[in-house]
Amino acid sequence: MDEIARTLFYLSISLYFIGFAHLCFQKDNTVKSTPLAILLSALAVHSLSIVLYATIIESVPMDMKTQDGLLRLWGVGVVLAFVSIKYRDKILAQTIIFALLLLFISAFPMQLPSKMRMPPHLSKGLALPLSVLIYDLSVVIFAYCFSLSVACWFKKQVNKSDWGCILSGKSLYGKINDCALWGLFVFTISQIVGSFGKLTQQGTYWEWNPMHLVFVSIWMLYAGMIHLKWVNGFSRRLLPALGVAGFVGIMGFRVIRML
Amino acid sequence: MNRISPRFKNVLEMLSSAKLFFGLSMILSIQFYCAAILCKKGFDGSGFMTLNDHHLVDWIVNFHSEHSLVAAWLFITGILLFVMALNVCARVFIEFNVLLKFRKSAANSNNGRARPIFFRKAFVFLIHFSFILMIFFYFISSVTGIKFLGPVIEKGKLLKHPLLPVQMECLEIVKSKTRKEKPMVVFKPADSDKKVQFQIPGWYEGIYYDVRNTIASPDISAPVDEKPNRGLQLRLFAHRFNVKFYSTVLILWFSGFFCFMMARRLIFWKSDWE
Repeated sequence: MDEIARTLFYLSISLYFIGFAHLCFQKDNTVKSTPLAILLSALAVHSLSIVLYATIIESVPMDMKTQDGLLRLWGVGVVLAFVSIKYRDKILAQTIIFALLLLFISAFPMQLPSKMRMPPHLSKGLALPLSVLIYDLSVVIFAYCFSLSVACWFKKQVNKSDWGCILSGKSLYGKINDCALWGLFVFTISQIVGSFGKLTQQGTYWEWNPMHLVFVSIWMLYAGMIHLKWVNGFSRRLLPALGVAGFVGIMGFRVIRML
Repeated sequence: MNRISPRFKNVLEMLSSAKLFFGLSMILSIQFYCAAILCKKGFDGSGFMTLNDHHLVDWIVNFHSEHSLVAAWLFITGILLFVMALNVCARVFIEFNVLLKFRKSAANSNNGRARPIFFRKAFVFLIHFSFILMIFFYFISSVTGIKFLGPVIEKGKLLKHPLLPVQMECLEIVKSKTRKEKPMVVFKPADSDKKVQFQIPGWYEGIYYDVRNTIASPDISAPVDEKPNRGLQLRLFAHRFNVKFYSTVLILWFSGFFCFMMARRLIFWKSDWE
């Protein structure tokens, strides 16, 4: 069961990659039924792997690495499926898969379920585990914001008439701001819930450690980003650039943890 | 706002500008990210980590020379946060005046959208106002209250410290089953009934007590023939925190954010910031 669960996870990632490759070789700018079917299959296999992981450990798979790999990837996979069905925009689908593969690389290699070790602070109470799950949701939203930013930048580089884009760069620009606002909202909720949990368990909402410092940094970046709408004098490329920087910052936290 | 002099109005508008907030938030974002890297990489030793064991004012007075990079970082961050607080305060002041004017005009108007727009402005005001309270709260907790790493914990020992509100006797130390979890220690206040006990890590009379593993430091006052301290030792950590005020501020912040997002989603389908 252990190996089956992990194999299914790697199979789902392979299917996402195959879907990405299919879209790259496709000449049309819409997401056709074949790549869409591949991506939906990947999501189904991924869901199965999460269920198996949860069954083996008899809990939500939430140790450090499986959180990054299983839960957040699944969230991005759901966004990918939804966006692909709704907009059928090839470039946007590709950028979401790109974000997904970045999350996969940061969580590589995936542990076997039986080797997972839940951190002590996630074993007690409800507030801290809940805050972690809400934080995972915010990461999914920020990953979507990153995808929109990359797609927006990419679409601006090519002539609109050549590509016949489904979603224009202008409409993507509005969506980036919306996404950043929702991401910041969910992120703030996760920090509020987490701070209450930390308060009851450790007597303080704040600790000087890399995790909290990175969280403040990310919060400040996105808070500044949503106010960019009212700031004159900056290029329109700044908003997508910040969308990319924010997600890279979140990925960078994984590197900082390994230092 | 009409009674305010034009010069002050200009200053207020400059202070409350979104451009200033944007610039400050970007600089602070980089500032905190660099701190996270320094914290982990150990460029400044464990300078940042020592901030967890001491009150900020105590740390600045006693330890700033040992960790000069952290001290410089704190100084710059303090200035930036002060300017940001001014920015948000100015913004809140302007928003409050706009709300008052809008409320008067909305009451006299037959426009159906006036009320939802008023509520949205009110929620934005609440978000900014509670953010100010957060910064203010953090500033107050940094300069008041107690936070210190106290004496070594040993079974049967009476713990004394100038900042401890009560002297405490250690009754029992219960080691944890896993290495990652801290041991639990049972205390009783000195000169009290044995039935009056409390466990740490935990709260007791408004103060949070914790157990910290530290490396034993040599006791220079001990006799020469006495065995020196070695290895890890448990030390008492105490921290006073105003939970009620903090909870109130956070609930305000959450309410503002939540109501704003719901109103935005339910009432304003398209982005409308006017």
